[in-house]
Amino acid sequence: MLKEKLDTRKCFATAWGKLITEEEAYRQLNRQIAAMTANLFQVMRIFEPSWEKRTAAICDIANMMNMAVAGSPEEQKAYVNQALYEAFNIPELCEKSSWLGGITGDSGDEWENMAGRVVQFTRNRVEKELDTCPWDIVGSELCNMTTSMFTANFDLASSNGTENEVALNMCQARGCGNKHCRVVAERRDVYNLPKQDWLEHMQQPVDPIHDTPRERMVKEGQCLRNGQYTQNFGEETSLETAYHWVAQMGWVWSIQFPMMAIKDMAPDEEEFLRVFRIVFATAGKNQFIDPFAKEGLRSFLGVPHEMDENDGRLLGGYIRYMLDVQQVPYEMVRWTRDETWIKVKSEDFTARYEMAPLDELIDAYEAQWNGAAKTLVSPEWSCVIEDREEEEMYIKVIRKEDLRML
Amino acid sequence: MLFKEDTVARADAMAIRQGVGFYRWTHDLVEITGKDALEVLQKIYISDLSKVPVGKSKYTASLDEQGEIIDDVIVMHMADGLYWVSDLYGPRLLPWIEKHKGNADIQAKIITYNWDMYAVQGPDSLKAMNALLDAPVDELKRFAICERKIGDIPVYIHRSGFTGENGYEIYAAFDQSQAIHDAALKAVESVGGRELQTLEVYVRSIPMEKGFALKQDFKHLSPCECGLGWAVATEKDFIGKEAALERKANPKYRMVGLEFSRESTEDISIWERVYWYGVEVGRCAQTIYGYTVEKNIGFATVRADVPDGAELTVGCNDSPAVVVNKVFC
Repeated sequence: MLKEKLDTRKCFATAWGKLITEEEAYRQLNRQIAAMTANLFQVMRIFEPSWEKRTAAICDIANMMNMAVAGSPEEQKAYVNQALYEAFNIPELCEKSSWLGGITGDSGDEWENMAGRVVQFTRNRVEKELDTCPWDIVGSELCNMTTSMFTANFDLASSNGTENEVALNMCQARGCGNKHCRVVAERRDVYNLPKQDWLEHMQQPVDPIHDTPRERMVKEGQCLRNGQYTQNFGEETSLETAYHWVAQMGWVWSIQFPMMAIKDMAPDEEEFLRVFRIVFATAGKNQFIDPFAKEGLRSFLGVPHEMDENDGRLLGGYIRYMLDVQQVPYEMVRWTRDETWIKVKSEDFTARYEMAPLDELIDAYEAQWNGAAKTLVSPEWSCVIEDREEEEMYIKVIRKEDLRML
Repeated sequence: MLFKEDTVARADAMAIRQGVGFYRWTHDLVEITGKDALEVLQKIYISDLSKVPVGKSKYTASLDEQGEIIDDVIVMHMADGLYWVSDLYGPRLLPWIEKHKGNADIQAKIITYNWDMYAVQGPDSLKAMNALLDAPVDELKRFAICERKIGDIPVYIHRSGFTGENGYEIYAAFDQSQAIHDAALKAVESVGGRELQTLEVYVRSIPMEKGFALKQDFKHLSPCECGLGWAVATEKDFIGKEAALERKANPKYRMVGLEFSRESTEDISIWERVYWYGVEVGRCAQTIYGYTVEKNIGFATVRADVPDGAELTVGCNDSPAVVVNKVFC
């Protein structure tokens, strides 16, 4: 019996042997990507002061990229049939119209631990309500941007070629401080509604919403509540699959898509990277500025009491944990009082989704972890990522004087 | 999910229960031919299909080697050596047939995109059908198929449905779908019916009230654990038979109805955990509002020892529910 119980849960060990369950790691990954997004959006706000301009820009790019996934206009219908209807095992009794937007939206939410429910799912109206969202710290630009991605889903699923039939409104958003996120799609022909521009997708729907009372709200998505996501037609996605999907695609939609637009807001690439690194360095320093943050991390990772607080392995162990959470393979090369070296294939680190490498992740994490070194360990310590142009790179936590610290 | 305040959904449900409603109800359709077609179908499905004559159909199910239900389907005997299998998940049936056919002479292909299907359901469905077709179907028995015309379009009429009411299914060439839709709408409206708008009403709510389950409700269950024991032909061999009979003698689970005592079930999706005295005893497959019974109802798979009348809780917010017969009305 004991052996059976020991075999029932998946987990990984921290550097100090504390076991982190698959559920905990999955929850952490979602929040980690959201935190990275929040930092990136600060960069955006520095470069583009106009909320309207920056929001429209990221909506544009996110929509375009979502459509591009499906290929050329001729390939898009085949993509919908093969990659969506058949993959989701949606029976033929469903009309091939904007319905699909509702289903893909629901699966995407649940896989990313946005807890909620499809309130209404009719031919003319889809209402989806979320009680939680890991990205709720980012800000309303992102909420708007997701409506542009939904638009792409609805466009692809449309029976009218590639222009959808619905008015799509995120009429409430956790990122705006609302109790719920709520996306409502209403058929324009039935509700007599005009086609919308990017900044018109956060209006109120025509039909009344159904507001779930607080006592009936949920805190975790289906994957954490039930170990799997089950969509309306019974097709199941395991937590393992959802986790792996987030580990790849979470970086693409919430980091890579907006970053393409944000880079265009900067005067040039060099200036973009300068500000980008400053923002992430600040975020890193603030991660462990409070004493209880350090104590909490030690407890969470199982750091023994005898380990000195000026030991770089505190940060090394944290980085190792973060790589495990993010499903990035690595090899420990040095693990001493004086230095931590972690070898990572550059491609594994940057190309979480194989087709879309994100080199800026190196700049972001180097700056953030270097900042974190100053408060988690001490200013004597730094984090550098070396050999980033090579096949294998090294994440090093070392003692290093830094006369030009960011 | 559905709410009792939803006037459109309620009107849809009442059309089925009190008058007539119609909706596009195209399933995956698999055509089976070949001189050994019956032999292979007999191996795959739990019912004795040799007793189904041409022009009749049978509701049945397929099992895996553990005796657990893979899918439930309608097998229609269209002509000598020609069967149609109406299935929501046709593409998964083809490899299953391929795996188990051995050297048998059988061909299976998806013909979903050749045949569109509309369902006309409700106590007034016969009136609507007779207004629609070139000849009446008063004599058509349940699970029987006949040929008729709608205008000039040849159609198959199958007296069947998923509503617990009298009803008919119209099979017509896919490229005639719009004409069939328009004619059916006119006929149904002429007898006071309507085209249904709410998928969840005709896929979940209406069927569940009458105890009709979806494939996912049968997950991990053998036929006798979910009330399909009547469909099992014990005198013939089929995949999973031995395991299914063992599960009949020693059931692990049973499929039950749940009646919720709270008005709403927002926190319940499909496959939520079910607890009895705080101990997990199964999963709630699906819940929905029933406009005929005026209650939130559901199906659950629970441990075989959980009795009728047991007070359970479902999901993370402990929604209270009582175990009841899975036929609610």
